[in-house]
Amino acid sequence: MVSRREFLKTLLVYAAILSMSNLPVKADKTVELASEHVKRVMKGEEDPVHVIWIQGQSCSGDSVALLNAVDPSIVDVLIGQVQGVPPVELDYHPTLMPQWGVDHISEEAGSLARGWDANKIIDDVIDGKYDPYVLVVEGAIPNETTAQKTGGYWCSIGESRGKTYLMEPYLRLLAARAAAVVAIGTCASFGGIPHGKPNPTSTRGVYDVLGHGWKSSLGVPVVNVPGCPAGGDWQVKAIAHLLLTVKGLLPVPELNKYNMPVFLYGQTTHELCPRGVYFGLGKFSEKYGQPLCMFSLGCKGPISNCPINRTGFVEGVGRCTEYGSVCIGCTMPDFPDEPYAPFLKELPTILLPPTKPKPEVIKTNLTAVGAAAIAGAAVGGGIAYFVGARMGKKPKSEEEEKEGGE
Amino acid sequence: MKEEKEVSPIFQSVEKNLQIIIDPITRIEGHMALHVVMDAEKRKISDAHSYATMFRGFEIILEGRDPPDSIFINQRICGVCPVPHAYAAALANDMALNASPPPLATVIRDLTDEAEILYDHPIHLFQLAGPDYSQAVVSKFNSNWIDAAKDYTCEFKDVHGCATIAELMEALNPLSGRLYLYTLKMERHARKLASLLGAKHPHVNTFVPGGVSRTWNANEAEETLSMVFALAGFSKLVVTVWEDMCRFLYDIGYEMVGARPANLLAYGTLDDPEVYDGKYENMTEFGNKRLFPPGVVDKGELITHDLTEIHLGVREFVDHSYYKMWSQEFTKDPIGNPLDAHHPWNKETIPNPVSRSWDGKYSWGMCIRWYDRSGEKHVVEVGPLARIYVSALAGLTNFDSPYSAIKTGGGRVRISLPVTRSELLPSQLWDPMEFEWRVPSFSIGGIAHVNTIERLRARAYNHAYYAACALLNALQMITYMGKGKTEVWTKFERPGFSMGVGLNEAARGALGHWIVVKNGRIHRYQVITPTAWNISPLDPDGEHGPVEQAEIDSPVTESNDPSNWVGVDAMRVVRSYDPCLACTVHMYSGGRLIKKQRFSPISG
Repeated sequence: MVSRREFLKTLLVYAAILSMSNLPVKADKTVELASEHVKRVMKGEEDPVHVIWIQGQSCSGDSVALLNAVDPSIVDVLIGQVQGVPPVELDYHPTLMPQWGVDHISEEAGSLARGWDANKIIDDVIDGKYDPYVLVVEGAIPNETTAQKTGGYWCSIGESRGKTYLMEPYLRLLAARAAAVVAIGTCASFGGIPHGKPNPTSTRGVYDVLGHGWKSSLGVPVVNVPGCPAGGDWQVKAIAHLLLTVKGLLPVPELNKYNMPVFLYGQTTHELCPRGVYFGLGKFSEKYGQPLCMFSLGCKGPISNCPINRTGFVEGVGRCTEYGSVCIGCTMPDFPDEPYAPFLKELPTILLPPTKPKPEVIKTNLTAVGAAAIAGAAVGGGIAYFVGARMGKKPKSEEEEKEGGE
Repeated sequence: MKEEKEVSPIFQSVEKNLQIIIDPITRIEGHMALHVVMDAEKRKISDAHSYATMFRGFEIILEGRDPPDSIFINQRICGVCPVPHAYAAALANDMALNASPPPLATVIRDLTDEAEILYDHPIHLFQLAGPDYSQAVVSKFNSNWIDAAKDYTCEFKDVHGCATIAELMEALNPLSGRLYLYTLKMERHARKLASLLGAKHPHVNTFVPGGVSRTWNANEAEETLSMVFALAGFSKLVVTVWEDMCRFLYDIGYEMVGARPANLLAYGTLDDPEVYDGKYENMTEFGNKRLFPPGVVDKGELITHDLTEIHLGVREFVDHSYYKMWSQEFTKDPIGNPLDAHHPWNKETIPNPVSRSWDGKYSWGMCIRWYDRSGEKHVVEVGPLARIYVSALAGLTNFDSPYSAIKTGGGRVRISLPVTRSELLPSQLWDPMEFEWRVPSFSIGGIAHVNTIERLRARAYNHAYYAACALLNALQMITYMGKGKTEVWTKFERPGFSMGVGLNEAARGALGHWIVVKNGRIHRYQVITPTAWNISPLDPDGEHGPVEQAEIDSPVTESNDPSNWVGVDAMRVVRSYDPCLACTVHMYSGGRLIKKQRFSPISG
């Protein structure tokens, strides 16, 4: 258990780090807020922050990955491991909550049954009974107007007292009062697999639905935490950051052009890859299982922003390219389409980030490649050796192209 | 609300009964709802319909893509059980792209699959279904059980540390119970093993046609061994907790809840690295060498364990689902056996969204049935109970390794787990233990039946079974490495035309992937998930699917006044199947969904 003194120290260190970056809130102000806040929490005067977690077109993979987090784990957060951090209550989460939907349709239900209805929580959130709350969204949000034209719907999250709780309108309703909105996973961030061509349900990410310029009542934009799924540690750290933002302890995290927090997604898989050096040396694996650079076998690490090679996935274990698999770009807006697919075919050299990124060069490539591809290079740089190593390789014939693994 | 009276003719005929819509069904994977009619006088469920409330359209998205992409895309059908999807897709790709994996690759695939089950079964037992048996829920809705629970002594209290069932129920309480919290940690350890093998989990990255892409050496082997032993120790806790809980549930008379005849199906899983070659013509042979063998059980009797026969007997029907019948493309399988028009290799997904009617079309789930050689239909349920039941009757799995042993046959499965010393485990779990699972003696009218309790119990014993298999595979891994057989991949092709099938077992039952390749690209892809079998709607003969069969006539045990009934028994039945709705709704695609009869969707 972390003592109060240690916790204060941590916040002070954090504040000092922040003072070195160009963030809107001054460090001394942060320290002041933190101290006041901790005093209030210690006196029991601080209200909890609620978390409302809804799922659209999801596979629950992010919820499972959430349970991978440690230091703190999600349970640590919920049971108040670190004293002084705002108390957190997870009031609605379809995979974990005890309640379920209860709708007596033949006669009026008793108060016990009504109180057990999961949908009542959603109603109460919209009525302001759970302020302040952070809305967490998992899964893509299909465009209901395309379904309503023919009298149907794509995705409902509940049904009670004559109402169908459709994902898209309820996202808007729940976002309206939210102190902050977090999109967890690539589906909620950008549409993910369900929006893969030909996107049968016209599905989108949260900030596509709310608008890229949308801000919460506290002035926080939608924060995207992509990944298929997003690592549990990334999720908890992003959500914890926003909880502290909601309490005025930390500024809004710095976001890149796709609203991904830079402290998590500032570098590409390739930049963080222990095998990256083999790229510069021109040493490439020719068969799966070999310990060299995986570029020739399909790795999309150079054009994918992802921290997995730094953080691991479960307690530091699990790193895609270090372990020998190819990066498939699962954190990126254009996943699972080109240029990330086909996953086991080599990325055309023309799509590689430029050696020394200049704004105009990036712009040219962006139109050719698709917006997502180059983001990593723009942020990171420092891959000067990258293209040179590929120059000597001769173009492949069609026969070779058809063969496995190439 | 306003529309309720005019558009609910279905409900009028049963208006004396208590009707409840349960939406969302929580603590399962995905979006599912249930309509139940409960007879308040007889305290029984008199009618039930389950339906899905979300779709995505995976099969449309797959068409035209590079075949290996299906391994990566399809496991994203389900974030709870991605590895069996990756494995089944890899099996289908091995076959279609003509690549037999080296033995070490099959061992690594098996271990990845086992790692997943070692987390997946406990998360169901302790975090998803478990709360239904916790003090928090029982004291609210079955308060009359509490006294009995206080008096009921746990037989395995020395192992799991709970002296009575009341203590056990307290240990299951969400977010505060000792077992709820401890199991989360061990489940994470299993996903850590899956991440070690698969680069990450959920959604492993290392399965490719012809093997795996994992770079494998002594470092990985040592970590795997360490983690597998700790997880095998964890199995001892999982089995003893649920053995005690299941005995208590029988004692209070819960056996009729979710009862249906013992008609079961399993494809089997965990291939033998020496036998598996990905060739369709050898499917019967490698099927019988699986650590979980394939099989079909009819009223408690095993009627086949031939994977080729089981495969050819799979049929899909859409009479009560929002689809149109397709036209037959193939009349024979790759080795000349006749192929039915309703077989998945022939299937094309043609959505046909119409108004819901319990008599007509009412589900986006397809009806899946199995036909034997004589043409007789079987309504079968799949899952861990089917898996262990088949294994106990088939008697094909028998091994005695220095790490673990399994002996099957005569309706019994005996599982031996070794000494498991680990700082992750309380010392009560260190001693070697042997468990025996027996075919349930529960029967109605002389016919062998299964029920909610047996589904829970079988899931716990499956955990120990998989742990024993993981120990065997870990030993095989070391042996291959010692012999220098360290290859993990065989080069694959992209042929002009080919067909592939991958049949295995997800945590919740039989899983099948079917691929047809044309011009080196995916021409057609079909997936039949375990939950699709289980929540099947009515078939062409008007017979209910397994979950509906289990719900109908199931007793209501709630202790409150009917106005405060919440359907907790119906929930326990549904959850005993561990449904996975993202899995089941993956295949729905097309122009629109049904308009619900009673409820007008609110406008955005």
